[in-house]
Amino acid sequence: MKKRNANRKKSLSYFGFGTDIMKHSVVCSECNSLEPSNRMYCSKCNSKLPKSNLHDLYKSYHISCEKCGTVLSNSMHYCPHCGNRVKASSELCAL
Amino acid sequence: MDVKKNKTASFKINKTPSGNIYEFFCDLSHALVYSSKPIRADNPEEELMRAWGEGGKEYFNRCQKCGKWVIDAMYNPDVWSCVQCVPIEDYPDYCPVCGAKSQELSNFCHVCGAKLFYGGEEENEKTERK
Repeated sequence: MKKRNANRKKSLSYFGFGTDIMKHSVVCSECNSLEPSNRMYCSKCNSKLPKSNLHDLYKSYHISCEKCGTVLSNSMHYCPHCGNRVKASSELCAL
Repeated sequence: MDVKKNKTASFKINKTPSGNIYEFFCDLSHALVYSSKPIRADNPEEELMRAWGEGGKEYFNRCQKCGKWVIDAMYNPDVWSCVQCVPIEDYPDYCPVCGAKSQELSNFCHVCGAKLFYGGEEENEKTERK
């Protein structure tokens, strides 16, 4: 399964899709230019780039596994990566 | 920034003496994706659609669920949706419904019968009905 997922990630990245591309991309808060995340300053306006990349934005839309950090959809009761039980939103509210 | 839902991505107009330059942004990341050349047309709608059709559109993907126009990085090509509507899934090691260890190359859980890859509640309800 690991090899299958690695190949899948590779092909998604090759075509510009997937989480690896998100992790390597950051949007300048001044000029909205799309920059690689390893840069400190924007190549267009030279302002300081934010630390949060597109993957952080993506994670903010969904719940994540507490154990391994895998991003999960709302319908999942168990993490498909590590098998950890996902707390339902109602359970989280009760805590 | 003006958002014309479903027709084009969000855009900004820069007025210049030689015509209007349209800048198109990703609806999720707000990244600037495409700037058109100066365009002039009889009415604003035609001008926008020309800027969009002459290059803007090819950099974007439309989410089939919410209609947002997003860049490749914020798009889930498995289900033709933006990553806000449907997160990207890997082949699961465990069933997301019952937590059972999944078997190699199987599409459905051998314990509960749920669809393993992009199952979701709707898909699994359909499977149960069958």
